[in-house]
Amino acid sequence: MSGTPLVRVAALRKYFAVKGGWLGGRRGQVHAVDDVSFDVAAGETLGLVGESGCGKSTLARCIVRLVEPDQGKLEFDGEDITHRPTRSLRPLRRQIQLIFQDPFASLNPRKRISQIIGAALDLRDASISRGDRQAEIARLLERVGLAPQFMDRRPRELSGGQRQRVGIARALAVGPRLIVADEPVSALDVSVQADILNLLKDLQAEFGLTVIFISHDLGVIRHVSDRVGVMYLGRLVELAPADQFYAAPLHPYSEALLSAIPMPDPDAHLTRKEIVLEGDIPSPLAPPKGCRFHTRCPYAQAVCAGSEPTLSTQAGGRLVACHFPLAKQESTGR
Amino acid sequence: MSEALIDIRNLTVRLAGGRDAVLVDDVSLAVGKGEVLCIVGESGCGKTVTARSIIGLTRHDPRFSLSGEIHFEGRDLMRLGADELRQVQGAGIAMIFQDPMTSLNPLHRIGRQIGEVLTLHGKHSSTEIRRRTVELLRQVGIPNPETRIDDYPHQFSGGMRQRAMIAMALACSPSLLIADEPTTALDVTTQKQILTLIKKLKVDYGMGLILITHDLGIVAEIADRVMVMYAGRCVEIGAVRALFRTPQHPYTAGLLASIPAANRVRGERLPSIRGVPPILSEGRPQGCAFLPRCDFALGQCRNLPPLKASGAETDHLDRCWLTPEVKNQTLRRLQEGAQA
Repeated sequence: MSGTPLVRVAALRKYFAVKGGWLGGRRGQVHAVDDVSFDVAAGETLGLVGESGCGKSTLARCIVRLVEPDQGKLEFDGEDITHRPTRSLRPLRRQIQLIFQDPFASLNPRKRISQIIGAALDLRDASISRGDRQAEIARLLERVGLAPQFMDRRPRELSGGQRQRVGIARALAVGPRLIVADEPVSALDVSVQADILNLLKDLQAEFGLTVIFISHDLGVIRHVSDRVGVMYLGRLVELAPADQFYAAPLHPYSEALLSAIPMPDPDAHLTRKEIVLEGDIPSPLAPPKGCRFHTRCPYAQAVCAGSEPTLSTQAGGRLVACHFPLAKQESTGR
Repeated sequence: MSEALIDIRNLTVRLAGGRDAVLVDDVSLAVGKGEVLCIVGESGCGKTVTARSIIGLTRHDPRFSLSGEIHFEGRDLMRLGADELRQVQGAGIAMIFQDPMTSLNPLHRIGRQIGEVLTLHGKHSSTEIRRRTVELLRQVGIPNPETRIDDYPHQFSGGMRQRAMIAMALACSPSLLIADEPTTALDVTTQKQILTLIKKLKVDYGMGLILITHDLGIVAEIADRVMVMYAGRCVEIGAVRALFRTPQHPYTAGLLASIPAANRVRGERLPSIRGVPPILSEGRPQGCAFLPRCDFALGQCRNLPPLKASGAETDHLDRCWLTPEVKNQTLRRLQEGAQA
C-alpha cells in the first residue's frame, strides 16, 4: 500500500434515533457504527464480516453516502465527502456504486432490463447516442454473462442469479472505481453463488476495481478478500491480512466466529476447537460498558467490563481491539 | 440401523390440476432411532415438500396429490384419517420450521403456545402444564424460564424464538423430529448454539431426526446419512463420510466443489455448476434432470438412470449412468481439488 488510500474512514460514527417512546419521544439510540477507522487501498478487496446488528450494512451505506455519518471523517480519493450535500453527490455516484443483497428488491419490477441499465449509463454520459446506448447495454450484459435478449425482459422473468448479474451490470455501467457489495451472494444457491463470486473477481481484475465486500459468511469473505475486518456491535474489533486472519485470529470474537462456521467436512470437528458462545448479541440500543464483547467472551476478565480496549497495533502490524489478544499458537480456528 | 423408525416408500407429490408437474418423484427413505438424516438440495428441489408430506401437512392441500407409503410405528400414515393423523402430528412426529417469527403466533404468550400442544395431546391440569412448559424452556436453554414463559414472541430474540419452537416440538417427546432449515434465519454463532442444542436433545430424547438444509457444512456437522435431491428426485443417498469422500453423482461432486469454505485454499476461481436448476412446475428435462448442466453427460442420459449402488458400499445409492471407474476417479478428483 503506497500513496493515498482510495477510501479513508476515520473515527466514523452513525447513530439512529429510535422513536416510539412515551408520547412519541425518543426511546434511545442504535449505536450502528461507532468510531470505526480503516483505509482501503486502490485495487484492494476489503472483506467486512459480522453478524446481524453489527453495523456492517450501515457502514456500507455511509461509505456510498446513502446516509450521512454523524461524526468522524470519510475521504474518497483524498476528498472529504463526510457531509457533502445530497445535491453535489451525483459526481460521486459515478465513482462509487453499491451492489445490494436482495436481487428481488433492488430492481424496479416495472422497468425492462435495458431501462434499468440505461438509466445508469445516462449518469455516466447523458449525451450518448441511441445506437451507442443500446450497443453499450448489450456489451455490459454480455460481460456479466447474460445474452442481449435479456434487454427486453423484466426482472420477474429472471432467476435470482440473473438478477444479481443485472445488479452488477448496472453498477458497472457508470464506470465506478469503488464497488461496495453488501451481501451480494447470500440470497443465492451455492452453485449460483460460485458463479457470481467468480464474475466479481474477474471484473475486479479487468477494471481495476476497489471492492468493499460485506458478508456474514467467512467462507465467502476468504475467497474474495485481501484483508478482513471483523465488526461487533458497531465496532471494528479486528483488521488483518486474510491469510494471517484465517491462520490465527487475534480477537476472541473472531475465533468464535471461525469456529462457528459449519465446515463441509464430516471430520472437521476432530481437529477443530469447539467454541459455543453463551447468550445472544446484546442490543445495539444499549451496548455493554467496557469491551462490548465481554458479556459473551470466554476469556473475559475484570478489566474487560470496566474499560473498552481500542483498536491497536500488534506484532506483525495487525490491528485488534482486545485487552488480551489470543496468542498465535493457542487459536486453532482455521 | 437395526429397525427403521420411519420408512417412506415411493413418495410422489404432484401438482394437482392436470399439469404434469412432479414436485417429489418416487422418493424412498428410512430413518432409524437416534439417527440423523439430512436432505440437501437447492431451492425448488422438493426438499421442503418432502418434509411437509412426511408429517402430513400437504395431505389436505388441494394443490397437491400424493401417493406412496409412509410407515411409522406400525401404521401407514397415508391411510390414516384426519383425526388419527392429528394424533401423530406433534406427538409422534414433530416439526420445526425455518422462520421462527412467522411460525409463532404474535398475539399469544410463549407459554400458552407451548401449553396448547400439551393440552391437545393429553389431559393435564393447568398447573401441571405450566410446570412442564417451564421445564421445557429450561431444557432448550432459555434463561429465567419462570418469567420468560409469560413473554410474547416479539420479546424474544431470533435464537430464543427458535429455541421456543424446539421446546414446542419436544413437548410430547416425539420419536421423530423434522427440522426444515432450522438455522437459516439465524446468525452463525446462534446457529452453532441451536445445532449444539439439537444434537444434545436428540441424544436425551433418543429421537430420529430429519434435517432439511441447503448448507453442506451443517450436513457434515450433524448428519449420519445424507440424501441429495435434484429436481424432485433423490440423486444420491448414503452415509455422510462416503458421500463427502466419494460422491457418486456429478451434482453432488459439483456442489461440494463449489462451496467457498473457510478451510479451503484461496484459489483463483471457484468451480461452479453452469446453468440453473429446472423449475419443477414447468416440467423438467427428459431422463436425468441434471443432463443440461452435467459435464460428463452420455447419450444414455436421456433415459432416467435407476437409483442403485455403484461403489463398494451397498447403502450408498446414486442415480447416474457413469461407470464406477469414472465416478471414483473423476468425481473424486473434483471433490479433492476443493479440499486441497
